[in-house]
Amino acid sequence: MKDTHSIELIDKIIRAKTDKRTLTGLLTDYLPFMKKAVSDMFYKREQRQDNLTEAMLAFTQSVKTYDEKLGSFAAYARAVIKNRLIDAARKESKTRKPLFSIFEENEEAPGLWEADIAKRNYDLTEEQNNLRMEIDEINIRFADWGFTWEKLMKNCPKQERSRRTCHTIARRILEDEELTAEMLKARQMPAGKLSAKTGFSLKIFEKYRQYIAAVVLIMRGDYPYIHSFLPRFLDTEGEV
Amino acid sequence: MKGVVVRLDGKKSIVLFNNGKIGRILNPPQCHVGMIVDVRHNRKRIFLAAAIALVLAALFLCAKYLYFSPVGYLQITYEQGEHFKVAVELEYNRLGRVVDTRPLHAKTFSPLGEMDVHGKRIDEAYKAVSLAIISALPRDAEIWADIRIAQDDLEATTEISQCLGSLTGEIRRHAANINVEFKLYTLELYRKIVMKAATSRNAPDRRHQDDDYDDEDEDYGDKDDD
Repeated sequence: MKDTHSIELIDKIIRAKTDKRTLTGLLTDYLPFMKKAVSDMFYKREQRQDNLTEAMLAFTQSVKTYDEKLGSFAAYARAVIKNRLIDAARKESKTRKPLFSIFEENEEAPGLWEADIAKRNYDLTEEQNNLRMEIDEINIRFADWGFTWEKLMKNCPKQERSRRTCHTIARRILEDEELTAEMLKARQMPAGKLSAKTGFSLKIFEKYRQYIAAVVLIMRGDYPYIHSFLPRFLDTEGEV
Repeated sequence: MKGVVVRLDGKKSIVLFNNGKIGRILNPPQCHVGMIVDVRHNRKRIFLAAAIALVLAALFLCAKYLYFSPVGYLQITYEQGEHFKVAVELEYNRLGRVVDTRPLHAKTFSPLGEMDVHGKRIDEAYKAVSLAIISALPRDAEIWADIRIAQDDLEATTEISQCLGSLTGEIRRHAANINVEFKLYTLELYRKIVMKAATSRNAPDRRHQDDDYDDEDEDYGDKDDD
């Protein structure tokens, strides 16, 4: 007999297979789970962000390929994430000689069923196709707003601290539905209003207007694959 | 650092990196929009740059040390009767450039307060200091100059002595123009005295403060010009 929570989760997963917002919602809800899966396996600090990106992509893949008959979703997603991280680490160790080998010391060989899942479900081409489709879609959205990736590149904050601030602002905007609706309707950033509401200086809004708008558009939930490439500032509180 | 190619732009592609940056990289093989790329810093290049920086820093420090280490001293003393005595010491490096100056005795004024001879060639500095002192003298007077060179190298000392000697005529002419009679008394100090001064951490002129100083050990040449 399944409990209510499991039924709800399975229902959400089924919806997430076709609905991007539900998928992004799951990605956000399961971020601590993914962080745990990453930290259980790798300890190299500089790779944490990369591993988390891989884990998010693997999680998306596991949502798309999950079947109720395979058992618990958490165990399934963990196996997919683990296999993907091992694959990524193997690929990296092939191209460079590591300072130490994680395989010799830390890795327990994946069980047969886990390897099987990875082979069956890990389809890189499909993932890249999804990414490409999302990029095409977002290019149209950006054009509506009057900017391109080139403009964003020039407008992108150089300092990590500034990027962190921009992401915090984007999150605050998304938390305020009224403000988000107004911004999306007008297709421009109400800098004065935002500055007054969020407490950040007006200068930041003016300087990084386009970058903040782009982050808001990606974070809103229509682009779960690109969403995996947004930074999770691991040392800050209240992250996405 | 992982990222996704979001736009192809000729030989380069625009990438959204997972640290929030949007940057441009050279197209990887079979590059296409949606491709996941992994960009790493080239460690070899970083190490090489760090090694070059270290070597350059070491070279700079060595050069600075060599430049600012004095190898010899030039003491210029001008005396007129009992009331006027000016003595300065110029330290010079192995390139013959002045690296430090200090007044040793100034009953009337110190010419070093009015001029900066740091970095000048020792002969130029000698000339500048001498002319400044002579110009400050009262007219119709007689002045005695005592020039002492101390260096741990006899050959270099002789060379500098000759170089300074060649300037004597010019200084004398300048003195004559303002009715000052210029008399030069040159004393060259050699290795032994410099070594003693170095041991007692005193400039050669302050050798009399050294109790162990033995006058008989002196090995210098006295020359009375004029």
